[in-house]
Amino acid sequence: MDQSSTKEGCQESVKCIEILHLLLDNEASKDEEDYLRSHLDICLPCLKNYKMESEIRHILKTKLEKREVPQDLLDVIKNKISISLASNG
Amino acid sequence: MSTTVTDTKEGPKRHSYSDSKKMKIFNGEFLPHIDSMYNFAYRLTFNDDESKDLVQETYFKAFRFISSFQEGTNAKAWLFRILKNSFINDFRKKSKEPSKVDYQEVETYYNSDDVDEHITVDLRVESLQNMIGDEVSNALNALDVDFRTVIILCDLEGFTYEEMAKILDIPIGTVRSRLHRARNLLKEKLKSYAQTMGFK
Repeated sequence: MDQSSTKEGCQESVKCIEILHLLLDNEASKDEEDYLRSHLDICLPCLKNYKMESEIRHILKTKLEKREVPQDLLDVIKNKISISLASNG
Repeated sequence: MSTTVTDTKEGPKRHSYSDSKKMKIFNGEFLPHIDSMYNFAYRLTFNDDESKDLVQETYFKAFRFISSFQEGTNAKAWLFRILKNSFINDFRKKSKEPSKVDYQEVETYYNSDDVDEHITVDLRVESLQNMIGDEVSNALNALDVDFRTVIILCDLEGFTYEEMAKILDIPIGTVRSRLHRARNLLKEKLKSYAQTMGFK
């Protein structure tokens, strides 16, 4: 039984935060993932952190404006590459 | 049709592609990433014209040095690396703005070189959900370019730590510590927006 969680916070917080980021970045090993997933079942401060960090990644992915490349830029690049090939050939 | 590969004394292997193969690689492997490249350029420069110049320069360089690229490998990471280097070598120099990253690090992490230092920034999930795109964008844009870059590469573009290390020419350990610091700084910015909006 994990006794690391108290009302004030997780006594293993440094380790947990490190693994939490690895997990959310898909860089955690199987052991690290297993550790954190079972720890999150019993540690509310870490669960809260996990939700916050997940949400930050989510809003970065979903709320930032995504620009499409301007057509004139695409045309300039394609034209210049074609000309470059033609002049070499 | 076939490609010959030449080992050089230094640097990557060089591939001798035919013109039609070059076009196939350029159109099939390079151009599909142009929206990501343009967004990356814009988030580095905050300027339409400079973004266009940076992307254009990157694609011209990619074509010029296409013999250094192995067909079918990680074109996106290769292109991002070229764009990042062009930005540092040309655009950053032009702006003549000294990098502020060291000062920011010293200021924010005074007295601590501990990579694993944990700074608690308490942010409610609901506060984050209520934020609009401009607030998220402003928080990200307020970070120094080196911190902003790792967040963009990791969270927006989904690069692995190993790919980021290659793009940025830094060890994986530095990728991790820079990301850690960038995330703490971003949280602080987001928190101040949340407070301004009266969320928390």
